[in-house]
Amino acid sequence: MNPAALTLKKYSQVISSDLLQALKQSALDKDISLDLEIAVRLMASFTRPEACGISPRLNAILNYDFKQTDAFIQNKHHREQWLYLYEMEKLRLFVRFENKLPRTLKEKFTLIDAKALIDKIRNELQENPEQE
Amino acid sequence: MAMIRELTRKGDPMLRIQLPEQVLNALQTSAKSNKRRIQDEFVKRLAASFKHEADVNLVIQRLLPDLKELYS
Repeated sequence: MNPAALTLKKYSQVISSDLLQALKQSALDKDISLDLEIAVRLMASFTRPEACGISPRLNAILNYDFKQTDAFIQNKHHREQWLYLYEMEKLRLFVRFENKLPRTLKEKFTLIDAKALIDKIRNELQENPEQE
Repeated sequence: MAMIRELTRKGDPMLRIQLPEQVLNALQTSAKSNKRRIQDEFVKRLAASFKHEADVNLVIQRLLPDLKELYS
């Protein structure tokens, strides 16, 4: 949008007093007129982020409202990823020493399906036997 | 029921302003494509702008000197 090419036109409509109050306050905070405040807000709603020198991705990040629920979900997801890695290591270690460990020992796995993976790990260890 | 009728009460003020013609044309086009009246489109966009203050501040940063000249 080229500011030099802009021309003004009159516009009028009824508006709620709450919205008008919010606009007046915002104009006062920015030290600009009400007309200018409304014009700028409308232009912002039409202008693509990259036109203001900011990428859409960064704009999405800036405007993203990261709530506590999002933080919990993300935290839970990260912990589950770490739990997966931990249990895979635990299973590999168990398979590696299974002939030497007490027969009554039973390991618990909450995330991975140990029965489905145990044969695969045994084959991997046979192909690449580790030094004891 | 149209948005503007829901939001405004009897005795709500009449807003009389001057806007860039290009902005009004864009508003008209947007209202037509969204099948709304221009008054509803105007209110909707203004209300939504309060959730995206970063965009508003960017426009101010880039265009304020020219816009101040336009409105002087």
